[in-house]
Amino acid sequence: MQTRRWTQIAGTLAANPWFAYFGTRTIYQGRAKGLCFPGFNCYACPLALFSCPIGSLQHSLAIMSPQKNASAAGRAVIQATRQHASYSIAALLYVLGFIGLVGVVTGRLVCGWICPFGFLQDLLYKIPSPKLRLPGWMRFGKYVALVLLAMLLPYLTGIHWYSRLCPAGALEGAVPLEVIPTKATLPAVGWFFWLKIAILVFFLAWMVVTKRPFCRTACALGAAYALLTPVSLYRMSVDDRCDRCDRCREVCPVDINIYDNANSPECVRCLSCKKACPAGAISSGFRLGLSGGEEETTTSAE
Amino acid sequence: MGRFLRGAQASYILLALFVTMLVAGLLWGGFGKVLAGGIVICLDCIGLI
Repeated sequence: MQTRRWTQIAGTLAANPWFAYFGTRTIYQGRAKGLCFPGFNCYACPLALFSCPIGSLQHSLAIMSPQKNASAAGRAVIQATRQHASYSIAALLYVLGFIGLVGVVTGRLVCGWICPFGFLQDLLYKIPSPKLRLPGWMRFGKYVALVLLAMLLPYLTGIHWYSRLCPAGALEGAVPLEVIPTKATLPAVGWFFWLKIAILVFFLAWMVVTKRPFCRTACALGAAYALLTPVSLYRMSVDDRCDRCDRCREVCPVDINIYDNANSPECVRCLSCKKACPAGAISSGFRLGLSGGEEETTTSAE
Repeated sequence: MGRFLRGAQASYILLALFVTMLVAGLLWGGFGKVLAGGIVICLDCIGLI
């Protein structure tokens, strides 16, 4: 098995190690939940130990919201946390700093190597079926999701709109909590539950026929990392040995031509292209110099 | 501007900025406490409403 498969399994387990849930039936709410996991993993998952960066980003903006008509559960927290003016600023600083730090050091490397939802998409695409390519313009959807659903609307309305529609939340949070409920009484299922399930089913079906459709069209965390990829310290490069045979595109999980833009915001730095390139034209590594050139410490991926 | 953003200097300036924000958030909010209220809302977010 590829090294990357092992790191994806390790990433999934690292994000979800709270197996004590099966005994306690209590969602972990200790100090680790106050810290973010760099991949896309719902913190409502009964097994989750850490917080989702996008859920936390919405939370930190929602508690600053001037809108008082937030949802019932949210209102209680908002009222409680508003009493500490510094809380909301501290939360926002932490979340933006965390996402920014991961993005500026690695770009989207996390997406390719440890993200549990990315791992799921890689696995589902292996199911034999007719395959469809994604129109290029759809990649802009994730930036709209980040700005509108994960930032602007949560601030304006006090409601976590991205989380309410998130298929990862449906798969890792909503469904498990319905199947294996917590000891505490949870609110009844509402119509948002079924909307989330419908979105989840749609994406699961899409993942079978298209390479990583969620990462490429709707992942707000991937969008945030993508914005920082052009300046990230981890770099890809393609030298003049490349003869554009397109072997790289065949193995690319996000269907890009690495030779067009070695540091494309779409690239998840899985390094499959580097391994597949028959000419050995693709290299990667951390740019550690202070000049603007491509000074790299090349690493071997697998 | 484009050349600046592609340059390593921009990477290190952003790196310093984000590390400062991260550390400030942790110190200000209390290590591991800063997002503690989030889990209450996430039950709402997953559609159990």
